[in-house]
Amino acid sequence: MSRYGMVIDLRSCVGCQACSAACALENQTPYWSDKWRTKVMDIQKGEYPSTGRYFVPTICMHCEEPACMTVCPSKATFKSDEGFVLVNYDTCLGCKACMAACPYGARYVYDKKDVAQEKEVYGEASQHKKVHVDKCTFCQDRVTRGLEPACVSTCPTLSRQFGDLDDPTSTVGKAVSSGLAKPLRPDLGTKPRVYYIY
Amino acid sequence: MSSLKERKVAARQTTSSRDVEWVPSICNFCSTVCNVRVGVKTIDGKKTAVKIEGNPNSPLNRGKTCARGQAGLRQTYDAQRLTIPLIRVSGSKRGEWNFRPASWEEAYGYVMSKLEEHQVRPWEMSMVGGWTSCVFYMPLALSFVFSTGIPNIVASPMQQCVAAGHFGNDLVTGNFNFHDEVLADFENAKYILLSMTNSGVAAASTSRLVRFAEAKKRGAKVVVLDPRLSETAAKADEWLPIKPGTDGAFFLALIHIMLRKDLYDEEFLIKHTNMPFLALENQGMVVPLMESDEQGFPTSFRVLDRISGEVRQLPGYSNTNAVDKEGKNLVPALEVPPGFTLDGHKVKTIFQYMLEQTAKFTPAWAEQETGLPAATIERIALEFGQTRPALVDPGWHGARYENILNTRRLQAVLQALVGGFDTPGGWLMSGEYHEKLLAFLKAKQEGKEVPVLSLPGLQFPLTAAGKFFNPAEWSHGHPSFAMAKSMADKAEGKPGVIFPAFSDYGLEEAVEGKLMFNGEPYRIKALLMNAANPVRHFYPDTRWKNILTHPNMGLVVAIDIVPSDTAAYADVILPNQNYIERDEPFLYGAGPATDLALTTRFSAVEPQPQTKGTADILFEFAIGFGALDKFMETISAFSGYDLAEIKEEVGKATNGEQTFTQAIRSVSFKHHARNLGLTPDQLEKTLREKGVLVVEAKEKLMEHAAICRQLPVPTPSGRIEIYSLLLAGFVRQEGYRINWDPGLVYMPPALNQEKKPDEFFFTYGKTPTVSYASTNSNNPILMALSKAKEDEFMGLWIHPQRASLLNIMTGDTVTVENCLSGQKVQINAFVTEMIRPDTVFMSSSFGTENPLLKYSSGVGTALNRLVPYQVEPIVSAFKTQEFTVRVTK
Repeated sequence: MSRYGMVIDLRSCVGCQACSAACALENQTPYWSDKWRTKVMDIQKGEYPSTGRYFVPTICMHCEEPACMTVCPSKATFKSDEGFVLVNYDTCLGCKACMAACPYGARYVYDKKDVAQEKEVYGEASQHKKVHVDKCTFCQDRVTRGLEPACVSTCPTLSRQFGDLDDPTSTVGKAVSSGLAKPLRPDLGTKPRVYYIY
Repeated sequence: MSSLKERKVAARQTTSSRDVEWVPSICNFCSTVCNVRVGVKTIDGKKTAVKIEGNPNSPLNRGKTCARGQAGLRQTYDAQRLTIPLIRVSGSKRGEWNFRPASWEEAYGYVMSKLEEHQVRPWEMSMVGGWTSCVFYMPLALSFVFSTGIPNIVASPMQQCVAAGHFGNDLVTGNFNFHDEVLADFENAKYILLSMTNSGVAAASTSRLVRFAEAKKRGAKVVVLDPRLSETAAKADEWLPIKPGTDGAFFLALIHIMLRKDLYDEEFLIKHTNMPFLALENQGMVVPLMESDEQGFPTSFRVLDRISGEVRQLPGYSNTNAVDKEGKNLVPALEVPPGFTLDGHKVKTIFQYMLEQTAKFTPAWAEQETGLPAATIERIALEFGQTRPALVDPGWHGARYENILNTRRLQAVLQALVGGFDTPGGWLMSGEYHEKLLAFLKAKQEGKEVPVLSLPGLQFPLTAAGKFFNPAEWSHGHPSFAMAKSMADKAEGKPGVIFPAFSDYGLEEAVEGKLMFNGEPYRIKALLMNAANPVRHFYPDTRWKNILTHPNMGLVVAIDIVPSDTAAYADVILPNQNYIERDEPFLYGAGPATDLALTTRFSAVEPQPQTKGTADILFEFAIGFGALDKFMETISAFSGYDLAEIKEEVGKATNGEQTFTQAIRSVSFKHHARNLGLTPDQLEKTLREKGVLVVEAKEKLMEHAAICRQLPVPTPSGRIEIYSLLLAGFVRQEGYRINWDPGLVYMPPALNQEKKPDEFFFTYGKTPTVSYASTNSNNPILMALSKAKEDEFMGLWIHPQRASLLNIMTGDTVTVENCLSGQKVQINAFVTEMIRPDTVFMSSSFGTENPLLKYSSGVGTALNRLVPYQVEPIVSAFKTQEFTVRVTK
């Protein structure tokens, strides 16, 4: 089975936020509450004229040792067959233990207001019918159909790549095995499946 | 407790794109015109658009689309959509949203009765078009005005962008396309230099961005000239925070060094440019030795052959200088020996004159102008001159300063020095452009006429706009009001505007009754606006509000999709189908894509029942004006479509069997299918399946249709004109003015350099989430993304050093006062190290006013409330940054 992962190349990201928009439409995330599964940080550093500006997309790392899963009292957070860290909306208690545990700030609450708003926007096609703690699914529903996650598929700068980390011929496999792409905070021991090129 | 398997099944979150049917379309959220596909499925019993993706078959955007492209589908479901014709409630004032619903018949009838009531003669009307109108409805709009005798179109991309920028490049290359011009081949370039263009790359034009990203990944060196650290500048290896308006000085210093250190493509300059042409100095002007025919087209040039030492004659129109008029080979010399004379005249090459002209543009001089260190300028010149392929981006959006055309022209000259046209890593012409050029050259050889809309490059605007300028083209003898204003200016000894193509120059005077033509007032009494938002797109907002509310203005009609700021000033609003709903009346080329390709839109969801396509609205007006036959004839003449087919299909539309959009679409499919050797059904099927049909790949085109190497370009001489013959023509026609000097000159921006501590240079630019001055900001997702970056996107960028002096902190509301015009706006401050201390910056994307635009109304500050009416004298480009501002808390 493929060990799916993502490589984010900071060299080409321009902070256009196509990823955030694509994800919001594909996964019906609550943009109306400024909650996103993926965002692009706009970091400004240094003094003029040596100022630097860096765009850093953030997303769930789909850790192999997910801290959020360990702390979940209802086992609503689990790893799918593909190794994606997912949430069962039916059994999630909304206790937010996972939010406290996640070192990457990848989760948010899909609250009552959000559920109501979603129903209003999407009608019978709404995807989130209950209050729960929400997170990125790596677009499992797309990946199992042979597609890339929505954010990867639309990225105009090809900054996001998705594929089998164990496949030495894949773009992501090459970037990771060569050491070009590195995880964020490997010291935490969560073994992220999202890597960055910077 | 359920089993693990059950839990997993229960957890499977579906996505919007599951089980959708994909319908090909073209994005309408900016003029990059990306190929997209719309995912539709039935929700609550109604076919609904749920997701947009880039079309993977697109040679343009390669399956990608930006935040606007993604979020665009929500426009279809905007609760404030215009869904029924509206007529202003009598007694209410323009600007108030006070309309009553009406039927289409009533709306058309109202328009006709108002035209009659105000006795509006054809030249007393003007169309006003936005870029949508320009890109998708040019054949209809042009045919409509010529068949109804309306000599006026004001088009919003011209004075802001196309005429006010690209035209500068085009003077050198002969190019000109609607909006997208050339595609810079970032992905094959090793050195990339960008100036005054955040919009064209990172903020965001997807077709360019996908190529720029490849360059970044490959490690090409990127240098960005920008007074602020824009998204594009953030990706630079070297950000050069140049003093606003002085980019031309930087380019001249590069040219100075490259010419002197032999850092140019010598073979290219000799063969494909006019650098080796012999010229002499006459009354201080450099004039090439040339002969011309009665129409002024060059018939011969002279060069010194390096091999034989003889002076030879070159053909007047050609791609190459390697063959003379008699068919003999030669190698023209770039320089003639000192003291060289011809027929008793001291003669030099254009190259030598350009060496002389650029002598003063040293790096030390450029340091004084630009504020960038001379050593840096010199190093960049050496790097640019020694790296191949080196690329200077042609730029997107112009305006800003009186020198904009000169600056954009200098960029093209720099590109010519490295010989980068239709070469890997250079400026690539579009597939459509190559096709038009081939057809034009063939027709020229056979002595045949080419339909106006098939004219390549500069030939199109010169011919099409030329018709608007020439009173003899119109039975009523009136040119466009813009040309009439220019003529009146000249009569008063003012410079006027030489080429006010699709410009608003003189409109306010015409409305006020102050514009005279042939001793009579030239009035404008009615406006027909299509997808135009001049209250936000033009400068300043007060000028257009005066135009629209003036008592002399008898009728304002607006065709639109959402209640724009301008629609509020209409008397009649005609609701338009949006891009996801409509079948287009035409097939189009794939924008600036280098493959020759065809594309169009397919209706993805049912249009709102009371909305209509633009083609239908224009046909109804043509019928109302009694000009249907002439309209059909003009469409045929301009597009080359078969007249009998037009009549047959339009006949079915007048009988109510189909819409006029369907009629023209059917003719368009037949026309293109015939050219491709397909049936219309086959063509339709292919496009419905793929969205884009590649007719000839770029590689094939480059084998036989590369400009310069194989084909002459649409400049007067067919060569890359480093010395501009078109500008030289302006000198003959108008007398000398530095704006149209055909050689290499510098025009400093007219800016107060001795500023007080609270006085700043002013700059503006684009954000990636909203298009320039656009109504597409009224989108819940784009607005959420924008608000999350409120400081960067909606704030006034100001450097901390100056901000602390003025006691200004991020989030403070400050007043910005235009020191030239006195216009004032309020805006929140964004204190940042990302901008020059002597400069402030704001975005051009926000500040809409119509309260019906629920998400965007009142959010941010509108650029055009701060910019006065100032235009330059070639194309009436807006001088949108040629002033300083005072910032107070």
